[in-house]
Amino acid sequence: MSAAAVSLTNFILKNGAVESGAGQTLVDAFAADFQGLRHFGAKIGETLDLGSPWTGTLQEDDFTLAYGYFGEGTGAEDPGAGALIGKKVLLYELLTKITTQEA
Amino acid sequence: MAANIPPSLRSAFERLKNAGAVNGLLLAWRRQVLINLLPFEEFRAERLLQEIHDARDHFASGGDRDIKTLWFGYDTVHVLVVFWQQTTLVILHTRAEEADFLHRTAQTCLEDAQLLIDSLLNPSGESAAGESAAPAGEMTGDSSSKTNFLGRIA
Repeated sequence: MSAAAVSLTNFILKNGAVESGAGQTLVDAFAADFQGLRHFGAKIGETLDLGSPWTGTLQEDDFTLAYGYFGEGTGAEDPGAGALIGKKVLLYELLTKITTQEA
Repeated sequence: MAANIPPSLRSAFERLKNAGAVNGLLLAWRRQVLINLLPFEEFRAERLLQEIHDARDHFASGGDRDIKTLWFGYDTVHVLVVFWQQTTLVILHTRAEEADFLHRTAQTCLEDAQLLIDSLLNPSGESAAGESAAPAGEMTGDSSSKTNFLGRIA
């Protein structure tokens, strides 16, 4: 993803929309990956009878993107958060940063 | 078509099950299951592998993206997917905080196992990493208690 910033960019999932102080290009890029991750996470969960995922992460050599819901559900309207960064970072550290955005 | 999984390859990945709170794992080459240590039926493992590759292909379809890792968290378990060249390792694990340790361990295990996987896929000695790799369907091997079946040909 060429639009990815090196620094961490945060996003809020609220009422079925992606919100961020970042530019529209980054919001659109995050939303596209978020929808893809959520879709395939649900397909994998369906295959293994695990339900829908409450968090998902994808990582390339120079890019990491993740999302997580805050515990009220994993539906399209449920609140959550996400982040992307233009480098490889620790999975659990990024998840922690996302889930603590709620506070 | 059967593939004789070398005991050293199987044991290398069986040891991964002791790397943390691991519930199961799956090793595959392209879209073919090599070792299934998941607590699910074979058809679920094969379907899981197809979904994972569909996801990777989806993200790669826009251009030059190369997804190396996918990680999903469900209510009861996490699914960690690590891609290394044409091999894929799926790990089901319980504790989220073990994800990075398992991630690094899986990458190392996959890297170290490339020669074993290569010899499995190409008994004649050809490279499995390149496009010229022989299809796994051409593999030969006897049917023993160590044999896994390749349920699907790419």
